Amino acid sequence: MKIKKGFELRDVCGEKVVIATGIENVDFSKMISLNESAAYLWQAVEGKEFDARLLADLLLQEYEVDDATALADAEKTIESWRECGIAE
Amino acid sequence: MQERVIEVPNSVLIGEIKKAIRAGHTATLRVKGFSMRLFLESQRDIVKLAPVRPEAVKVRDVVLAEIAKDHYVLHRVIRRDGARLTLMGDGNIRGTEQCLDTDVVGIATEFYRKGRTKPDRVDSLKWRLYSSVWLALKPMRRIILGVYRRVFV
Repeated sequence: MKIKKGFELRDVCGEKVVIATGIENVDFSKMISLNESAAYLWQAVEGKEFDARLLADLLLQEYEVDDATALADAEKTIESWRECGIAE
Repeated sequence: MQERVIEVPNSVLIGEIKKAIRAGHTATLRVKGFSMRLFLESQRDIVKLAPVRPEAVKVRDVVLAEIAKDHYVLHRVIRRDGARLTLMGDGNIRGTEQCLDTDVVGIATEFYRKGRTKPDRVDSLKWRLYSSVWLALKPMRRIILGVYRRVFV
């Protein structure tokens, strides 16, 4: 799995949002807001291949959670990114 | 995925839009406010803005411009005197704004109305015809907008 090309994480008004920055057009009409942990994951895997295991390991490095919770959260994150069309 | 509307202050959002346009991109944004009725409706429609050279801005263009520090409007140019532009929202009965052509952030090139994926371009017959008719009906705006508000909104 990889973050699709043309999406950029930006700080807008203290919110971490993903904006579609195509070659031509930047779409400000649809911004996807990420919470703190999702933004951390995004930054860590931008431009890289990743799977739920890798995201879970990243969460374990940063937050005090057990492995099962981290993996469940990682899977949920991947699912919602896929749903939004920002990862494939 | 949960959909949430984030109200971003114009000064911040437009700062980002400015950056994108200065980098040579176009930018699409959702219209906020009612000052470009009848064509554009708040929160419903999306406008695409493109970079424009200050000297290329002309009467009838719809532009996003900074009319005072951190105060932006998306309005139509109704007059040009040298570098000085007079702007007025299509949905406004009176009240104009003044700025310089160098205060223009971008020019509207396309409108995505009512959730459609096919835009109305500013060089289309529809937009040009609408512009001509609407501008000609300026003395009757108060009545038309009043009826529109009661009947369609």
